[in-house]
Amino acid sequence: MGGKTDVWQGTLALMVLRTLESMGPLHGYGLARRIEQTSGEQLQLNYGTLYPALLKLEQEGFIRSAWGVSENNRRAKFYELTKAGARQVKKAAAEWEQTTAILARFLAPAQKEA
Amino acid sequence: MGSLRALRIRFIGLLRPARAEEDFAAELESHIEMHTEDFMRCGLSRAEARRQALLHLGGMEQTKQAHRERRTLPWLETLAQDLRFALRILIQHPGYTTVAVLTLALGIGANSAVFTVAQAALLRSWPAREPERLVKMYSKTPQGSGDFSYPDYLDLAAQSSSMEGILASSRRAKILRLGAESQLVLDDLVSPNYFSVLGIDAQLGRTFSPATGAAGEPVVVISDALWHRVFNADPSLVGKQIWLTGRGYTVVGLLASLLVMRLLSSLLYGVKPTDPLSYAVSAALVVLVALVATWIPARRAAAIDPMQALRTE
Repeated sequence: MGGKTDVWQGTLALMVLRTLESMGPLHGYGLARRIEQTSGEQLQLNYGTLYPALLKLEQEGFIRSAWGVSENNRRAKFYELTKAGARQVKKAAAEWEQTTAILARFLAPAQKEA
Repeated sequence: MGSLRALRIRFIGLLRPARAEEDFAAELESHIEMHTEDFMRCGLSRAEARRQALLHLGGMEQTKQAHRERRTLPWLETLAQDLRFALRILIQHPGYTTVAVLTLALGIGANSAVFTVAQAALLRSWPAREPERLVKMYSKTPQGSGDFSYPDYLDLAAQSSSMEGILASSRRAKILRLGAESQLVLDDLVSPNYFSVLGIDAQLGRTFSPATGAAGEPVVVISDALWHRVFNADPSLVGKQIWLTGRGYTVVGLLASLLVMRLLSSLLYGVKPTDPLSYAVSAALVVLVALVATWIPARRAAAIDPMQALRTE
């Protein structure tokens, strides 16, 4: 494995939703950069993989998109959270926290022994 | 709920591909432009900046393809393509198509005909003159549904006006003694009007008359199948006594067999239903037919020059 971590399936959707929740409407490029920054440059995000994930979320009704103008006066497509999306962030975040908490219990004794 | 909505949108996406394609191309282009500008701000040349932006994206066409696959239902598109291709080939070879369609039609038709007859003759019908006029009656009580008691049957039979006649029967296994041997047979204990209601006649002797039960004499009517199987079709059986589970019964009559049964047993003449040789022969025959049916087209296909085949495609 390299120095940076690959984004694994399913987590990207939650990162996108959470980023949109905290930042408001963003275009695809801005979203990609923001996710990289938030991860502390730990994540190796292939920007191309972001778009099918965005499309999926839009089809599921969690985000919506509209053309707008970027900070550099460039035409760009902006994504923003819908109401269903806001509910989904809470739900998915709670589920994810539970999962990591469970996993942490399994890992804790091993760390003590080490 | 979300995934159902997604499925619907992807299905709609199949119908109008062009607009979404352009829309996404524009979105990607603006993404690349923004990224290129950022790289240029870091001091890269325009060409190098764009190259880096594309590299970070993971390729323009790859991204478009991934997006396209998510946008619609690729397997449905592939299926539609295959169907169109199959249809085109079938139209190009009308002779082959006709034979294939006829073969399928005949096969399906023959199968359903055989099963319709078999179902009507063997599974659905009672051995009655007019089976379509028969109904079966159940009793339904708070404790559940089930059969009638004999007194209930007598009341029903006496008071019913909507039925031409009501018969009762109860089936159980009995032991038939034949000299030193014995054999398990199924015995229907029936009301005296059984045969007259069903409209069945005896081929030898008589069936039951309404007076039969009242007299209390132990009498039986034997089926054609049992007569052949156990009594070797002995015509002098009528009037003799047979032993069923320790009690003697006088054979008063012999039922006529059903047409289908007669046909089937004539076909099975001299062969037991469990004959291993006939099973082996029929299995071998089926395998042989299947082999021939696959070998001939395969040989014919192998004989075609590959260049010829490619040209036809």
